[in-house]
Amino acid sequence: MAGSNNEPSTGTRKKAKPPARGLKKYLRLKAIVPLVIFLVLAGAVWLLLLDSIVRRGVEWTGSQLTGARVDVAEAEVRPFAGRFVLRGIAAADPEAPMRNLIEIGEAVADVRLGPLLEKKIIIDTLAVTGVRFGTPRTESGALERRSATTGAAARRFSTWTRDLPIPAFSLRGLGEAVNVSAISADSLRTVRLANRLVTEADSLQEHWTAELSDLDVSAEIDSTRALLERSGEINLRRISLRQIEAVRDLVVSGRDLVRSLQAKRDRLTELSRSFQDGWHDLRDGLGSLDEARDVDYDWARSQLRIPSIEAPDLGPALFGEMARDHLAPVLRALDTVEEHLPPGLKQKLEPGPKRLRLAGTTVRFPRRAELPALLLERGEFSMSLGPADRPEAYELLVTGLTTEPAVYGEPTRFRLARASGGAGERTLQVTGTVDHTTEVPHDTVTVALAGAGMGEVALGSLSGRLDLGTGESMLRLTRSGPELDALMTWECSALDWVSTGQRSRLEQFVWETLAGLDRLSLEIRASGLAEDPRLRVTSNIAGTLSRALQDRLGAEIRRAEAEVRRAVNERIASYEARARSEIDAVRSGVEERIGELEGRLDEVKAELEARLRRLTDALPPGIIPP
Amino acid sequence: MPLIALLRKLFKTLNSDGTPAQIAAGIVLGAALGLTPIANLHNLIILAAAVLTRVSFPAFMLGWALFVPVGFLFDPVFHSLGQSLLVDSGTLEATWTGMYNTPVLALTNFNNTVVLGSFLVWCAAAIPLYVGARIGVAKYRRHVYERLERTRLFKALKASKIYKYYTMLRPELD
Repeated sequence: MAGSNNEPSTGTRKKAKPPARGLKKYLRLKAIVPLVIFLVLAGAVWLLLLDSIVRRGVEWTGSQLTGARVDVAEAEVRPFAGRFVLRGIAAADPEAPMRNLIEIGEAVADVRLGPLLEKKIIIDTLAVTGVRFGTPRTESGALERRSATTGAAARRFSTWTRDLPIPAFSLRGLGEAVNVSAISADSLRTVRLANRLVTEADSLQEHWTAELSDLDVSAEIDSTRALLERSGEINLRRISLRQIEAVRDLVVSGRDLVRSLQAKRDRLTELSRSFQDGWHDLRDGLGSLDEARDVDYDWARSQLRIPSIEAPDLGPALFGEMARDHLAPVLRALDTVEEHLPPGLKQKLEPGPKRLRLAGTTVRFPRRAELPALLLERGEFSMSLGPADRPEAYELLVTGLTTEPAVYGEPTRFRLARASGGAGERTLQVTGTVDHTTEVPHDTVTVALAGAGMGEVALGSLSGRLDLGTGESMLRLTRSGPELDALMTWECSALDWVSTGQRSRLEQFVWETLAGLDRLSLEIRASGLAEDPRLRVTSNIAGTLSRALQDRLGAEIRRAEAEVRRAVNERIASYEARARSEIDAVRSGVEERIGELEGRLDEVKAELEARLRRLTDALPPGIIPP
Repeated sequence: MPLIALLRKLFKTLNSDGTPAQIAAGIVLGAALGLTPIANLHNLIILAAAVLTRVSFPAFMLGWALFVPVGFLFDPVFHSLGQSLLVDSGTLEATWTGMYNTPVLALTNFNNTVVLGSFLVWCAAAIPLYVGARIGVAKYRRHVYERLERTRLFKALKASKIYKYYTMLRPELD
């Protein structure tokens, strides 16, 4: 490359340099020292800015996760020792920007240096002290600009809590005349379903009429009749030598016709079977009418404000909101865990780094027995829980927390318990395992709380609230794959019913019934798909209230319910009957046509086979091929 | 002051070569910085190569400047190429997995679609670009430069700052 110039010279001539030799021919050796010094200076500047880079990185990542501001007062990085120290971390609550979700005094992380060459962060130990929750902020923690991904988990969780149906506890509909004229047939699910069944029955009828028309048997039947006619003219007792050839041809043609008739018959049998399947599917739709009718009864009762006084319905009405408020953070935590600790050993696609150029997609290629991208081998968190004037010291131990559990191969384990030597009225214990090492994640969490205030329950239209006092609460949660099973229990023995306003006579009766109870035994179970679990709420209070209401109002409610049922039945009867008759008509119409075609084919086929036997018998042996 | 003197010395050293081959090599190396996202390990290596080898450094800077808009323009193409190699091509997965889990190689960011796509396009274009640039510069010097030098416009430009960037295309006399 160098020294290859033999171009003609122009312009002012410089003093000719001696030709470079050896390494100098290719390298600028004089540039090495300045380059090294320049790189060292650049590195020094980078080290000076490292604290700020880490601080801003933590703030940005934290705000992306929580959907609110995360502030770090100070970051101290000792890169050659692998020690990272963060002080004064405050993560704002996205739902209440003037409050901190969590505040951390100091976090000290010891990071392995070698894995950093693989862009992997392996934290051997993390010691976090001065953790407090719900502390006030001096300035708002709301984000000025939110990216599309900021707080996505929090938004999903908010949608779930908003959409969860919680029945309201209300007795207002009782004692009033039931206005059944308000029930419109158009609003009833049974009517819509019956109309759909009629349409489907019409379609099925049209389809099978066309199918059977396409199956044209007249050609075969006409040919058979013609052959029977021609063969009937032959005197089988006196067959001349000239006629033997003609009879032989008739038998061969007849056999072809038998095969053709049999093929049509088989096709008809196949169509008949297929029709039966389709028709049975349609008939199964009639079974759905019964379910739709039950839904319509419930809907009409709610429209006419006739409350259910069954214990399984009263439980959610009284404690549904409480169940939702307690379950939502658990589901949110599961969602976050699922997002950041994905199960299995899959490629992970994520947006590339933010830059002026197109970010592209960054793909992670995890491999078993390698180091994961991020691992906290052991983290110890010292935290204060409880009221500010009586804080209690707790310790949380986390092991094996990683963003790639399948690579690490061990589940994440955590345990929260009172700090050794600590004392207080309350006890809180949390233990759990998050096992995402295989394709099917398996998580278990147990939380036990005792001696703590259990909060209050608002009682809607009863103009009052229930102070649960102190008690015991327990959560046992298991998640395996998409399935969730969570059981939360409350045992409170010092209830306080706090009246806050006026009530109707009936509501006063309910209030007096409830106020006589001083013990709560509540069980909330969430089961099914983790993204949309079913809630079941049972309690001794709902049972007692249900019995009292049955005694007092049972007859009235049963009468109102009967009236609603009769009104619903009246509106759906004609639609239901039409659906049933249409479906029956389709069956009888198509089956009749199939039967007719089968009869015609069977008749001519039997006649042809008999004639062919007589023709064959009339010929000398060996004339007709077997 | 010593730092400024050091930098002056560095640039004086860099501007001392200028054969067509050196200019072409400089443009090729500069094209890497322009075509691929700048903050990546391979660009540090290319920068070091441009500084330490006797390629034309002004040509390197010119190549960088020329190919930056090309890089922006072709980013979607680079992304598609990277996507097809990183995500859609199952046969290469073992290679990427090996690279991703190898120290230092993991720092190259070749697991990013745009970085990988643009780097491979640069690799494929490097030799044609080198040959084309070398032939172009040689032809220019043989046929165009002498006539151009006699024009008034050229003389005016020669007195301006633009000239110092132009000198890299001027035939070297050593």
